[in-house]
Amino acid sequence: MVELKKFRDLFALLEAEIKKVIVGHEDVVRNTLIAFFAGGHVLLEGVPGLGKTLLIKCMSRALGLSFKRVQFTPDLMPSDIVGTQVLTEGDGRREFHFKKGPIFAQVVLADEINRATPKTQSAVLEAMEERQVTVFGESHPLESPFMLLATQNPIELEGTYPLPEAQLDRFFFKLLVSSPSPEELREILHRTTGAGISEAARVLPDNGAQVIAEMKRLLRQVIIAPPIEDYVVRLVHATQPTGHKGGAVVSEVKEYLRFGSSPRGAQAIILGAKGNALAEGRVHVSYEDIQAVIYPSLRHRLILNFQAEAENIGADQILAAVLKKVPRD
Amino acid sequence: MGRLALEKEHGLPDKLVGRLVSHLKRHVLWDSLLIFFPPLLVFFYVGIFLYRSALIPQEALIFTAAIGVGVAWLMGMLRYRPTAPTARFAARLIDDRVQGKDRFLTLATIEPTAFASFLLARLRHEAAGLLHRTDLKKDFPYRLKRPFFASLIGSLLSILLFHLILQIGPYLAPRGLAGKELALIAGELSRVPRFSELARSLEALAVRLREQGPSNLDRSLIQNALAKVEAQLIAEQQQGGSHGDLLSRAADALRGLGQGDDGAQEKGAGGGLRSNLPEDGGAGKKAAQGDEGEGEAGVTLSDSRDPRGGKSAQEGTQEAGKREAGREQGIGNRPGKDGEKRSDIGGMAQGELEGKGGKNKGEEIPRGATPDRFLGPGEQGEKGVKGARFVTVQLPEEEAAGSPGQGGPGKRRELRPKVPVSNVPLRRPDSPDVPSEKQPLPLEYRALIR
Repeated sequence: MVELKKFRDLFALLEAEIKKVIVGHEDVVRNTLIAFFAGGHVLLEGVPGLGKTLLIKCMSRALGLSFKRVQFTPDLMPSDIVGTQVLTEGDGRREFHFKKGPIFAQVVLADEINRATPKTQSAVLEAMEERQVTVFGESHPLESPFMLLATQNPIELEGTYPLPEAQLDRFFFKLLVSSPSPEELREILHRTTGAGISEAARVLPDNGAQVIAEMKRLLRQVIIAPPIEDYVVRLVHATQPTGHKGGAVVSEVKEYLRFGSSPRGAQAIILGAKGNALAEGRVHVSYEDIQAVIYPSLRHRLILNFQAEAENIGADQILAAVLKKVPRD
Repeated sequence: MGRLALEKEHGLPDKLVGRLVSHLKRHVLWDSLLIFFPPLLVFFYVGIFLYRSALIPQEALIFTAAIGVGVAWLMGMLRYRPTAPTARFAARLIDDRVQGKDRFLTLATIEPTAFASFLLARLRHEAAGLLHRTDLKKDFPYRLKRPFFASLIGSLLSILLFHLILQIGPYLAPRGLAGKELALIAGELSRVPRFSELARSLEALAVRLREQGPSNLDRSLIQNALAKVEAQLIAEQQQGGSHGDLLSRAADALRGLGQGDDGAQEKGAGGGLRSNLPEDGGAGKKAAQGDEGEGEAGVTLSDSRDPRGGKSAQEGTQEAGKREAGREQGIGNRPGKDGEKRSDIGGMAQGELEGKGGKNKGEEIPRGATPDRFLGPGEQGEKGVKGARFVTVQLPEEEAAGSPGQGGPGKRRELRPKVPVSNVPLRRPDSPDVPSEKQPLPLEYRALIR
């Protein structure tokens, strides 16, 4: 069993290694790693050129995991992702063999996932949830650990297919990649336009997969107090526009939301909080951990109504209201 | 670090939460009791006040005190139970104090068997490392809370209100109510022929009570009526009559009227309405004294003065009683107009005369040098009214009680106190040219005359 100290050290090393390449975005890096150790998938949203793809590449390299990238386009077919049966001829016999698609890597980057058709988007649903794909009635398990990182561009929405709610719900976190600050941009220029370009090195030992599995197990063992679990339940219930008996009433939720968070949202909060606690060297979850991960856990699970879009109200604003109005006790 | 030391250290965070819970429970218990303590004190104060005012008996005081303590304790417990701090609450307080990031909350609320022991041990170790940051007594001292101060202020206001009500209560009482019982008793008395005069005077008093209210009524009227009733009561008891209860009721009603303003009277006039008759058994004793010819008329007024030389009326009367024991002499017995006047003067004196063998301080003729001349109407002597030898007075209420046709139904005229018009020393009653007209006396001098 990986000890707490070892987890914290490895986590810190991974962060440091990724930060060698990625300037800024500390919270994005940390939350991506937390989602990875929690066994979740991440949706990264940001305009092009902010280093989303680079971040994922660095992470897979630092973890020592196989990495594949799929550029989603409108003409991309599901078989292009999951693989297909191909007819092969050998020894005078013709046979169908399954040719694995890029989804069979340990870290998969689904770049601009909202540009593919819903049919293709849904091809990754089974892979995300079941960690397997089924082709021609035959199931093929994915290699462990498996993590899908998808990116989408919030602008240039022409010709895009917004992800359906069911698919959005399968992402553990939705992380917003913002533009770098002037200092960060200066550092980016310094690193990328000079003679030497630094790359992330592998941090995990050779038995990385085993270490990762132990770290994942340790994360799930982190202690969480019942009052904190109750707090998460109240938070998630408070996002329901229909309301619940005895729950806190948040006017913003009633006004701007069509649907609130699913139970997966609560699971994501708890696991994310546990990962955050371990990353900070604690073996128990505190209220601060909950508040640290509630935004990436729930922002893509709140379905806004027309009024919210008309008034340019985002999910983060509603979550801020929920956090403000739901008491800890 | 040895195993024992580790165990000791690991046990500490849980113990600290438990200690804080006990600490805070004591605080809440004190809070609950202190909130109800001032009202309980007020309750006791009112009870003792009423007991000392003889408004409630001792048994009632003890019973209500016990009930009060019980109710206060019950209320305290009812308030304490839902507000008693839990381990969760105490743990949160410690976390806030030592910046424990919910370590104590977690330790206080989790089920230890649900988590890996090595993680729990580490959590306890971390929490134990924070213990030095807090001192329960110093960080969580007991402070009086706002509800206690509100309760204290409310209780003090209640006491003030209680006394205020005692002061203004008689003024607020409905006017007709006070005289209602008196009128009823007067009605019953009027059926007994020998009490008809007493009934009339009581009825007149009841009418006044209805009109003016008990607070505005001159206390001396009640005092006079009470004296009459008590005199009749003594006589009734001596004769073994069957109307003692009725007279007792009348006396109680009059005493009740007198008690309402007792405090105010004492403050304002240096003495309230008092009867010198003992509560029980005293009437017979007094009656016996009257029979021996040594007592006065059954009612003694402390501010009465003998017109001769400042001796108390009681002393003078006693002396006169000794000198003139058995002698039938008195204004009340004289025939003619004077006799009527005398009868008018004292509805009270009339009753006293009947019950006390004809002795009355008002009927004795003062001895001494005759003044050189009598003062004319409106003229003041050197000593004022004290220089008078004989004064014939007619008090307003006596006039009302004695007026013919007063008691007749439908003919009851409204009684108004007549404004005294003069203060004239009169001539001797045996003087042939004694004036026949009644000469009312200023009200403020009535006490002097008595």
